[in-house]
Amino acid sequence: MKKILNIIFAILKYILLLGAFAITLFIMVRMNVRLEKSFATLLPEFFPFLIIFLLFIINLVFKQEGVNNNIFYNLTACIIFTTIIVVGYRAFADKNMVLNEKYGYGIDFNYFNTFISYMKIMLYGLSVSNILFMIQPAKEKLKK
Amino acid sequence: MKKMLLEYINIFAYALTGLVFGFSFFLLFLNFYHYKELSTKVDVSSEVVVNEQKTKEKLETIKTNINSYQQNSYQGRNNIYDMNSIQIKLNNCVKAFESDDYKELTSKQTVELSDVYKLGKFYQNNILNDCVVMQLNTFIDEDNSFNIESLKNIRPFIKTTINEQLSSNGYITSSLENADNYYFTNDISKSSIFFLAKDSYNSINTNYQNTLDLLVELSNWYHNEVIGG
Repeated sequence: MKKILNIIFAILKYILLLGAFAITLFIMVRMNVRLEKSFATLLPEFFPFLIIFLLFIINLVFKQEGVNNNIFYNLTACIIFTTIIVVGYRAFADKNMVLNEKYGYGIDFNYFNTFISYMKIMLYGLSVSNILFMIQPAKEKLKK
Repeated sequence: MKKMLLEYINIFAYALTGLVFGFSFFLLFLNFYHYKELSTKVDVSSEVVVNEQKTKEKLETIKTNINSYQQNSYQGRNNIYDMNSIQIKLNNCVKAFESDDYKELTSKQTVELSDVYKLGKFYQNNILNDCVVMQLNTFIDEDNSFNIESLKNIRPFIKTTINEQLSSNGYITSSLENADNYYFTNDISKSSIFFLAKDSYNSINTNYQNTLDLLVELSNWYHNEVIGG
């Protein structure tokens, strides 16, 4: 049971990562267009996504069991990406957001802007814990 | 030593994941709660009936007073251009209250936060800006105002009332805009957001009624000028 759940979360985290990235990119590009800024100014905002994406690739390629078989880590990753998707979705779909009505851009940038810092905290936290869990196989070898 | 270090790294990794887990879990459910709170419907059916009745009576009084002036039959001492101008200004204000948008906004039996905000913005744009500022403000302008003697007596009252009305709506709409974000709030601000829709609805309707009261007073004064002037 635990193994099946782990496999589900492990697959889901890649799909949710793509979803979270796509929705963040969509909102931030729209935000930049409104402010008439160049796309280059946006790139630092996607650094945490890039880091986590690279780490996931490393986990896959090197088959790091310390991360891939860690159900708690996979569940946390799924919740984080779900939170980003939910917040992003609310920013343009929740019509009870009054600033959405006020500015008429179709996206409540003010609401999403508040969330960006929290998003970075969660993604960087996930990255650091990923790196720390990578050290697990070495520990297993030591035991042997 | 190396083994102990690895153990600490393991503990730290779990602790960090736990922290991030708790943080994301909190944000996720806070958003669900926030969504639910913002979409709360407030039953205002009793207020709608009372407000409709009051508005209807006041508008009838204003229209009767305005229509008491007929340019062709007016024999009074005041300049007919001034009297015509005042009639047009008061009529313009009445039109805002009789518009379909106003009726649609005020006839809702249940309102959400966004409905209250729309009601507040309508008051700001169509009543305060188009009526109070563009039409009624000329009554308090001493240099460019109408050449009617009795206007001097009521000018301080109009001035005070207009100033009160101009400052009252901004705070309400700002509070509604702030409801979009409320991370890490305490119980006091949460409860104030919970009642925000109902309180703001009543405050905005009070503002509408205050403007109508001012129009009634002005139309009464105008009527007295027509029959006595």
